[in-house]
Amino acid sequence: MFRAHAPELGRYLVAMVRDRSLAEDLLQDTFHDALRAWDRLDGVGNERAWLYGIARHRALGALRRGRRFQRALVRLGGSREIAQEADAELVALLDLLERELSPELRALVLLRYVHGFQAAELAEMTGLSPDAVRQRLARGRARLIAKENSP
Amino acid sequence: MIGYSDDAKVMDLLAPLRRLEPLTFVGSQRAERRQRRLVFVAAVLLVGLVLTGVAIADGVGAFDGIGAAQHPQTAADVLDPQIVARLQQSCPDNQFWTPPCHLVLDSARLIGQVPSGGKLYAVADTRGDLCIVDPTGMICGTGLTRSRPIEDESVGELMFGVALDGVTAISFEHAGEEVTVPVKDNVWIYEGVSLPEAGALTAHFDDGTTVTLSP
Repeated sequence: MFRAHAPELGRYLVAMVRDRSLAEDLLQDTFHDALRAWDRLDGVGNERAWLYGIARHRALGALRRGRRFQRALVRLGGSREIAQEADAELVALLDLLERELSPELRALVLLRYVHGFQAAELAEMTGLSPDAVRQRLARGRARLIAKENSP
Repeated sequence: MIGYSDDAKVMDLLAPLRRLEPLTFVGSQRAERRQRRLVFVAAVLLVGLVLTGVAIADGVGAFDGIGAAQHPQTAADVLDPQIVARLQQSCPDNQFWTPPCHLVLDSARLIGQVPSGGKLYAVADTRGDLCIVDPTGMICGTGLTRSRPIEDESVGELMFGVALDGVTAISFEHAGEEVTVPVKDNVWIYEGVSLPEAGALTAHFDDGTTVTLSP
């Protein structure tokens, strides 16, 4: 399972948190969670979606803690250096995603448009209704297209 | 109008993300070091949690800035049994990470009603985040702040949400016209537009300032 899903899951986590070292930890945490729940895997219909659901939860938790940490640092007058990729196009794209979409919406957009999950699968991962997932995706899509088309 | 071609556009836009290099797996020594660190951090957190457990159950933190939810729980605040059943159904054993599994059901406060009569509840989760439970779903966020003063949700063409104390109205553009929705007891509700159509929402504070939110 690790060999089959780790490369793609790793890309998802890097795109979410933009920090390779943190993403490595989160990837490990994801598989650790999965192993702990191994005996409950029988009831899981879609193993891939199940793993991504755990990874999404881990990434959002890390970002939430990161925001609190960042706010504390700002109050103290400091700043946090975030590891970035050397590829300028990738950096610009990650900047766009981070600037325009909340972490929750970014997670949905990446899962739908990069990793190919359907609204019903995303609904299962997030606890939202499929209708709410579609609405959020439409909102994120409109936002990205508007920014991409703006001069 | 948003259609299939927009799906393709976003897929093209995000295609470079496939160039992200795969991660290397963290070695077992590092994992053990992390494990020891985590045990220490968990012990410290446990002490903190014991001290703050009652506060979380009362929604303290999650309900900061939501006057309508700042009261002791009454019988009216208790979640409807059908909603509890739905939330429990959304949290099967093997989906332990999903938001419904983290709700502190005892922290619920009734904050409003949608036009169909369905109730809106503010509920804290185990991380101290704010969740809004509505008749058909739920949404969680990190709580309301001056820079992110609203939480929004939409079901079909019904938009609703919770706003920070001091927010008097929410506005957005629809079909070239500005629509303003009043906030009453921290809750705003508008029927006739879905969130994607509404685009960016602006919160209007009682001191005349505004905050426009990205979705």
